[in-house]
Amino acid sequence: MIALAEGALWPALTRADKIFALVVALGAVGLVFHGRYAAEAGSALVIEAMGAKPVTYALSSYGRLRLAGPLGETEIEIGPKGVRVVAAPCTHKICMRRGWINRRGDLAVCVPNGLVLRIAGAAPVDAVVH
Amino acid sequence: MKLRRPGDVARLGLMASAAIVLFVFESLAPKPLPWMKLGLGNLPVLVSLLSFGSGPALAVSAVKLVVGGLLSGGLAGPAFVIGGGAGLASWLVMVAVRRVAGPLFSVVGLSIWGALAHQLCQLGLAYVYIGQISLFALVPLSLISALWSGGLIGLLAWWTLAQLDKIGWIDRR
Repeated sequence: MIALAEGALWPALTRADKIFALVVALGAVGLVFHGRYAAEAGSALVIEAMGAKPVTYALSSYGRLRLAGPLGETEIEIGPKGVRVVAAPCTHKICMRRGWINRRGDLAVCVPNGLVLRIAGAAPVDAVVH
Repeated sequence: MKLRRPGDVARLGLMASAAIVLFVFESLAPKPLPWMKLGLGNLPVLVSLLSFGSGPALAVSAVKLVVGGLLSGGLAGPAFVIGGGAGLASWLVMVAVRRVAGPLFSVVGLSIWGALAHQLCQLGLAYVYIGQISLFALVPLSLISALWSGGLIGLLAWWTLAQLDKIGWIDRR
């Protein structure tokens, strides 16, 4: 099972290893390109909070919003560059590191605070609250 | 779980404690990117899988998750459930690949399989919690992450096994 060559510094990668790694890498690159190709500039922000109906805002309605979640308030900003999370109550701040999102299908997710920010296509009105 | 040599329990205990230490160390260490977590705690799991077999590897993985979860305060939270499920999936896939493909894959390939299962299961379980299909837009990132972390952990496991082999530490099953 393990090829342990005496004194070797580099493991003996099998052919299957290399093919498998290549397939995974190509799959990832293919999916990224597919996403990029299909992605267009979005025009609306959809906020999906846990246990609530999605709320839609136009990307042109600049300003800051405070969203309540199980952990506390997440503050987001809608600006010329898109949408970003400004402050979050969670430990890892993954949503904040996501930075600006502005293309259709782009996501900023905060799992601990049960929040998904998604960029969508056309929004004919400034804000729709369901 | 079958351990052959009298010292195996001690060796396995050492693996489990190494897994806990690495797990906690990694949760404390700063991460350049949140998705780029290496999964250092899986190194002892992988080493156990190759030197003691599937049962002991699962034991090391479970001890790592429960004690690591206790120490980092995340026990029974969503992150624990997601991590536990993903750990189980990763173990299952590695054991299956090892059984089916045999010597076709080296430790590095095996580790990438495990990392891939871990990442995709993590995403699936996060979907169960959040319930938004849009989460699956993160799949390409997961693949890259699995390749990089799985590959690196696999290399580290290979080097560890090579050193352990020199001192007659492992049984090679």
